[in-house]
Order: sequence, then structure tokens, then C-alpha cells
Amino acid sequence: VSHDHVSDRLGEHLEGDLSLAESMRVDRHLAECAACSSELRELRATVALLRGLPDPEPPERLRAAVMCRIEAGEGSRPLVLRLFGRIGEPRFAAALAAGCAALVVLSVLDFGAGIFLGTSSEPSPNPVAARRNSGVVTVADASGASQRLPGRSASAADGMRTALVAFDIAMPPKRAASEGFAASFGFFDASAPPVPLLDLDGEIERLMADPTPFLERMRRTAAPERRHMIAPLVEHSARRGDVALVARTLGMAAPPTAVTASQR
Amino acid sequence: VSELTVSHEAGFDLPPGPRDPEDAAAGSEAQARVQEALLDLAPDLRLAVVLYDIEGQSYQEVARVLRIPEGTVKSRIHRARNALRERLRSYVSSGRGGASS
Repeated sequence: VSHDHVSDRLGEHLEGDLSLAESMRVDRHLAECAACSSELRELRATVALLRGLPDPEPPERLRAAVMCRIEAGEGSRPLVLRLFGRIGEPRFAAALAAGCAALVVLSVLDFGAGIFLGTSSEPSPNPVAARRNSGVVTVADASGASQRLPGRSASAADGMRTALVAFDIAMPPKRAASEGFAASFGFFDASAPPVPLLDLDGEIERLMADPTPFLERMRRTAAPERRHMIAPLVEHSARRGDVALVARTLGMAAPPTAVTASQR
Repeated sequence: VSELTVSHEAGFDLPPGPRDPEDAAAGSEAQARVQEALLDLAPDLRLAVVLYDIEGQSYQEVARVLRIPEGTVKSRIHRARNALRERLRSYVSSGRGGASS
């Protein structure tokens, strides 16, 4: 039995993904190979460390607060400042600007027109999606923000992902780490339209350069009966250059009140 | 097993108890190190391992969320854990706080 081959299978062994025969073969090797059995012990300990991270209670509050702000049609800068406080670093400023821009775009769409986008307002037949949807509803209700979310606002979920993953990449390493993680990842929704999460830099750049595709995506993913309400808004937003304005404003450390206020 | 005590005993919500303060300090230190190590991972690996090991989602859920095949999910999780294992060596190696040496 080749040592390297067994080393490759340790991950699967740990998860019980191997067939009985393979598993027994790995066990035999482990019995006589100190390096492999030590590697397995370390992997186990690593997983135990990961699973022992604190239960993410702070992120629930963070989530509620951000949802509340989306509902209220605000940009998220004060919240972000309080939580992450890393203004001044260029990378963070860019992420913040893009995140807020996304939120403001959504605020404009959601709040300005008083509508919510949704791929469907019906309960999802998919249990995973249903669970996550109901999670969002619960949080939104708990914050006292809204009874209006019929299941979830697809636009808000999209914006949250863009924004929070943006925050995540610029997060300070220690204190905010667990908050940011859980907040970012707790928001994933299996039924939501695709967001290019792994091309974040590209996404930020595109969003800041030109909000139209983003708005277009919002429009495409909206429930059919609501599309006609969104088109004028998309045009309006794009014409006003709201996103670029907000990004620039944030770069100069001023809150994006003008944009949301003008939509009232 | 000592590494398990390190990982499970410290938490934000634990009530004050007869716990050894030094253990508690070691626990939060370990957590901080784990979080730092996570932040050092490449984003694709980090996403996979956070969703699976920390959020407790299944391979299938992670695959759907990240829109990648389950096989890719598994390999990313494994690669991520191995990278973390390297970075957290002082916490996970069997020598630490263990029987001997």
C-alpha cells in the first residue's frame, strides 16, 4: 500500500466516505504508519477546533441590523463602521463602497418603489431553501423591521451577499472574524439567483463602474408580475448614476444620505 | 483528549463556572488563531470549509450554494482542512498537552 495514496484518502476516511474495503485498507496502513496516523489525528483535531468555534450569536444581531437598514432604505455605513472600523485602508474602502452601493441600489429598488423582488412568493418545495427563507423572515421580524417580507426579498438577499462578502475580505483578523463569517455565510440561500461570489473583485469593479448589469439582473430575477414595475426604476437609477455617486461619496467619508433620501 | 478541551470549553455564552482561567484563555487564544487561519485561506477553500465545518451544512447544500459539484466541495474541504492543520500545528499536533513529548 503506497503511503501517498493513503494520505490522499485520509479526508474521505475521516468523513466515512470510503467503501468498507477501502476503509479497512486505510486502517491497516494506519496501524503501521506513524506519519499517516498522526496526520489523521491532526486532521481530527483541526475539525474539532473548527466545530468548536463559538456559536455565532453576534451575527444574528448583525444580520437583523443590516436587514433593518435595508428595510429602512439606508446605506450601511454606520453599521459597518461600528463593526469593522477599518476605514482608511484602501481595500476596505473599496469593499465598503461597493457593499454600500449594492445596498443603496437595493434600497432604491425596494424602498423607492415599495416593492420587493422575489423569484417566487410561494413556499419553496425545497426544504433547504424553505428553512433558509424562514430564517430570514424570523430575523427580519425579530428586528421589528418589517412584516412585508413574504418569504424573502431576493434583492435584499443578493445585496447582502455582495455586501457582506465584500466586508469579509477586508475584515480585521480577530474580533470581527466570527461575526463576519457567520453573517456572510448565513445569508446564502439555495434558491436565490446566482451571484459570482468567487469573483468578488471583479464584481466590485463592475458594480462601481456600471450598475446597469446589476440592476438588469435584479430585473430578470424579479417575479414576472413585478417586472413592469422595475424597468422604469432601473432606468431611473442608471440615469442618475446613483451607484457611482454613492461609491464616490463614501470614498470621501460622507454618508450616502442624499441618494436614499431623494427616493422618498 | 486535550485538543477537544481546547476547542469546546471556551465560548461567548458559557456561564462563569469553576473553569480554570488559564484554560479559558487558552481556548479564546485558540479560537482567535483558528479565525486568523481561516482568513488566510483562499476564498474558495474558506467558503467550502466554513459552510461545511462551521455552519454544518451537508456536501449537497454546500455544492448548491457555491454552485460547484459535490466532488469539488469534498476536495476543497479536504484541502482547506489540510491547510488549516498546517497553520494550526501547535494546537492540533498530538504532542501538545498530550501524554508525552
